[in-house]
Amino acid sequence: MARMTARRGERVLGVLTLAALAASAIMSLVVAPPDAEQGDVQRLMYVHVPSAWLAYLAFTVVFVSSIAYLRTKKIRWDRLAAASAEIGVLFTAMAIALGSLWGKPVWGTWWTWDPRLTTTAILLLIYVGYLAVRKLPDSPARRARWAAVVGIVGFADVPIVHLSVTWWRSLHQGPTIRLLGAPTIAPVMLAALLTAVFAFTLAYAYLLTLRLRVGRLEERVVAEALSPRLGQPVEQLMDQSPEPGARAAAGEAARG
Amino acid sequence: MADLGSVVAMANLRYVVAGYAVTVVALGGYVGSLFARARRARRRAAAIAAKTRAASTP
Amino acid sequence: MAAKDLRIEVRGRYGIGVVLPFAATLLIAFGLSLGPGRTLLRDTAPGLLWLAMLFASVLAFRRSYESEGEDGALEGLLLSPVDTAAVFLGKAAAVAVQLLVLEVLVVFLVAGLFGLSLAERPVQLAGAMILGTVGLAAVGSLFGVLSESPRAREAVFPLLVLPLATPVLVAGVKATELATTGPGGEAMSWLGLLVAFDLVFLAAGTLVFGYLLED
Repeated sequence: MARMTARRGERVLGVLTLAALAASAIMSLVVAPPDAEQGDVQRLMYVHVPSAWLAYLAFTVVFVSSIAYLRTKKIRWDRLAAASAEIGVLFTAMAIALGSLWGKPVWGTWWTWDPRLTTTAILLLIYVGYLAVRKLPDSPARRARWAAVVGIVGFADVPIVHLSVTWWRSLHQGPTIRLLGAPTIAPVMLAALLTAVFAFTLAYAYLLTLRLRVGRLEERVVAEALSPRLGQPVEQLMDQSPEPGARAAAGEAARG
Repeated sequence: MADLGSVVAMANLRYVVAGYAVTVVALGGYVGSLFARARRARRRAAAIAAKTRAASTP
Repeated sequence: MAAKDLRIEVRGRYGIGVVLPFAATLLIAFGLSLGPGRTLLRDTAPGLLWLAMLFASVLAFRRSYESEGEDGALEGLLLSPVDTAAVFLGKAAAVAVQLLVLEVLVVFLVAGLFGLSLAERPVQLAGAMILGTVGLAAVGSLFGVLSESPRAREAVFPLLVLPLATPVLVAGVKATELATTGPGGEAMSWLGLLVAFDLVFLAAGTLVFGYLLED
């Protein structure tokens, strides 16, 4: 019964996301005026910037859930971190691709070592590494712990990376070319940008919901296979912490 | 001069279209792949569960 | 911890015999690919120096943790009541010393092969070397446990370390460049960045290392 309502909620969220994205597209492509300097190309801001912001949000979620997992060893935090990281990598890749597509007509080349683009590329590499750690042929407990460490350390590193690349870049050219052109953004454009951010945030929430469900289903496959061998019911295996220590403690608590 | 400006603007529309297409394909494609993964996992779990039941009921 | 450090260092000397030729080969390859023009080589020398250090240190970590893994020395540490923070810092310190030895040799190599002047501002140069190496040692010691066994884990280690060590690369190169050419004070801000990076990573490492040793 609970699963039915969850699925319906997921579907509603999906429809809302679609509606929000459509509305955002209208705002970005039709309502918002073309930029004085860049023309229509500037409309790429309405997809590039929200992608980048949602990537940062996703990795912040990874950071927090990684800490939570290391401290509580509860599997739900590990699941959340894994799901959010995958979505974060998607948004990061999008941000880079869209940044390049924006950069080519404005700067003349696909890549210019712009500090934000460069930092985003390194961010992508760090979290691709995170996903690689999750796929290692190792015990689930180890994988989860390792991934959590990467999730924490990687997140802490990014501001330093950004700082170093920004300083590095500023040495080699005078005023940084800012993708946004004018120092203050026109109110219509701001409205379009905020709509886009809202729509992308809904998209993140929907993707997260989907991905969490997929994660649970994939774990179920493993649990079904292990259940007869371990003599434990599938449901119990699903909720178990991968850490033997925590499992033992939970067992003690259950036995009272 | 105004003509040159509009020619450039037309050429640049390509990038806008490409960018929004990338967005749609990336998000839509990921959603699609998630549904496919879900379907595959559900089928596999059901298959294993059926096999287990068949094995335990001689 | 000191005895452990010494033990690691002795094994490390065996490692340097392999890692140094690797670094030398790398540098010669760079030199050949960039051409014989002296100005270009001198200008790119700081970058090549740190690239060589990065790649060589990945190798060095793998060797140092390999030997540990074989003896099960890390598991032995778990049984001792030693604070995990001390373990991490001890390992990082030992690795840093190893890397510094390597670095001194590499610096002289680069000075010779690429015409980099070392005498300009030796104190700042030394500062850049030391701080950068400490940073590399901190990152590598934290994730080096990954290199323990020759499986897929080994390939993930460079993938993790290289992007995370970007600030070391950037700041190290810039500081080295400024310490060997150009006007004086600018190297200090880069050295400051290296200090910040080192502190963050050493702190994060000590906090988190305990979780990694659990098995």
